[in-house]
Amino acid sequence: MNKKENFENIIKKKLEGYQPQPPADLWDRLEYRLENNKNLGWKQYVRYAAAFLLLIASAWGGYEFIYKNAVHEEVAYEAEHFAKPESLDPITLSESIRPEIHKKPARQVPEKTAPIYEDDPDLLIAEEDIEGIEKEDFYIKEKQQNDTITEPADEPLQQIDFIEPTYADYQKIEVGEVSIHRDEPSIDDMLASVELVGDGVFDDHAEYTSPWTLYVNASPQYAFRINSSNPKDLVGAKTILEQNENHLITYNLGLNFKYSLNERIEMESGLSYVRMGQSIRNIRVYNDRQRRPLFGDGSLDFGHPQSVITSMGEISFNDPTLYFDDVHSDRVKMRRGYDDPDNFELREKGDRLNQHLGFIEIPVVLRYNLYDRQTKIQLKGGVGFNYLVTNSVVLKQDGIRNSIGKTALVRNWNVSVSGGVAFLVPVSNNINFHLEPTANMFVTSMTQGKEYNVFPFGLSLSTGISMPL
Amino acid sequence: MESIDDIIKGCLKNRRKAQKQLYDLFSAKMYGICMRYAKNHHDAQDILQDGFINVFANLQNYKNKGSFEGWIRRIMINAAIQKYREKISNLGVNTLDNELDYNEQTVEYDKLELNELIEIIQSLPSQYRIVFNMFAIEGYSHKEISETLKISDNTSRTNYSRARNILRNKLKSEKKVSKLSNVVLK
Repeated sequence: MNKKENFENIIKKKLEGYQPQPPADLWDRLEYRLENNKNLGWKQYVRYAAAFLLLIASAWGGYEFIYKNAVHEEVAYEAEHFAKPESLDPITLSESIRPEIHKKPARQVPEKTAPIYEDDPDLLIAEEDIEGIEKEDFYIKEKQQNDTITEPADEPLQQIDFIEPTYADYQKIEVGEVSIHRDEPSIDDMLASVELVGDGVFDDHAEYTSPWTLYVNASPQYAFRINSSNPKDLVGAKTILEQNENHLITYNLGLNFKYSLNERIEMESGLSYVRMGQSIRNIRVYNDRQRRPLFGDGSLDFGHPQSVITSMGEISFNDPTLYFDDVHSDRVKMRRGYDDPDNFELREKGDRLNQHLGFIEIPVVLRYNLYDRQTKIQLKGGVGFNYLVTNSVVLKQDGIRNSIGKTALVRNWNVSVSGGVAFLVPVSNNINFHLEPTANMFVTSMTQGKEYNVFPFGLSLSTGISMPL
Repeated sequence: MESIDDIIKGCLKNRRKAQKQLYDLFSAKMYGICMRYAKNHHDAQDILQDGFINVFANLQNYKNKGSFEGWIRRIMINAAIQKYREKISNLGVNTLDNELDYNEQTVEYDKLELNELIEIIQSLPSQYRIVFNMFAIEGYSHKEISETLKISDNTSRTNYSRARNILRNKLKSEKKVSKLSNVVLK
């Protein structure tokens, strides 16, 4: 019993003094996790909640703004164009009898009516009252041309039940030459103007155009990146990286809304998915023919000890069956303590790694109409807020693409600027085809690495269609 | 050098400098604990990172009752147990009987025999290793261990007994007896 106790005590005593120093870079890794840790305390949840509420409020506010603004403009348009005329101008009169605003006025019986022309039994006396206009009496003499109307006599006119004329009535009336007292416009003019409206089908929205436009676009993008080295880059990493990295053709997808501020200027915003990437050369990849894990305890979830330095950040891998070797320089980092890979009998699997990063961009773009005919030419420029959403490193061999890792030290939020020219060609009444050569560039360094800064920029040829809402 | 209270206050304000000071103060001691609970030093580093993340995230829950080092130590042990559970979950099987006896060549330390003792502990099957550490080194009872690891009281006792026998045999076979103690295994 005593020996057993001694055994535990001795081991315990021995181990109590065991205080090995952790690796020097462990704090850096911990600090990186601290900066990116998503579960650090209640403040993070408050931020999530605030962001969620802001999103909901923005969506609701946007909906309200768009909807109410459209209704307001429509009402304003109608008020401007369909309001009751001050005079009996033929044009305004014709518009004033549109059905939806043609309200039957309160019937008023004149105290003193115009006398019937005693010597003319065919004379028809009509009382006209249209759309709340000050009551106007028209004396229309049918089938009697070149007749004139004189001031009403003192004798009371025969009262005729008034039936409010309809638009169809106007079209049916055969009108001779009519003159109207008080030098008002002739009924001919009025009727002629009625005919201007059309064939009885009223299209109140024909002249109304919404200031909102939906713009859907997709574009191939050729992405470059600028490496801006700093004084800490004593080993010339920039040169090594540039020699071994190639640009890739990627793509953008966008769903945006444009708002016409005036005839010249449009504002645009929405959501876009921006993908960018580069190809890393001269990193040879090997594996065991049986794809056995090469590192750790033989389990596939062990992780991978190697990493590769690139200008966009450091690639970490998740497949312990692969081994990486830099045949050009020293971009592959191998942590201490792993089995010597020289002992492996490996086959070469491939030598090209593709780094891909995907961002959700919220663009804010202004467009200026340079040329506004059937085809439009616009200048455009703006700023974009990019949030990192996808991050992968792909190894391609024999036509098969495998995601084998991701790039570390990439900033989650980045700001970019863009500028270009837009050509808008109509393809139907309401739909325009867009062709927009555009250049964009990050103005914040995409990497958190301390050795150098990276500012990607790209050229894209955006194509898309837009339609009014 | 700031006092531990000042460092804690700085950490509560999420100041990186204070967090670094706290890390510098306890990392070596806690890394030693992590090495005992882990299968290798890579796992130990992961546990140490997870542990410090939890320390910084839960520092407001430390009520100045008991030693601060003891509080951090418990968090590290919990992180080690969590790591063990993740391993079990990922592998989908109980690693008790089929774990590889993996001894990698690790960093050279000055105290070689202590390092070798750690390696022998690390070579124990995971559950044995954790039970042995909790019972023999930390002083937990079998009841506490069974509740923490969600195993029966008897399993905890059996695991400990087997771990102890394995350790003794390995120490014997590798002739580490004299280096540890001439008394223990006679």
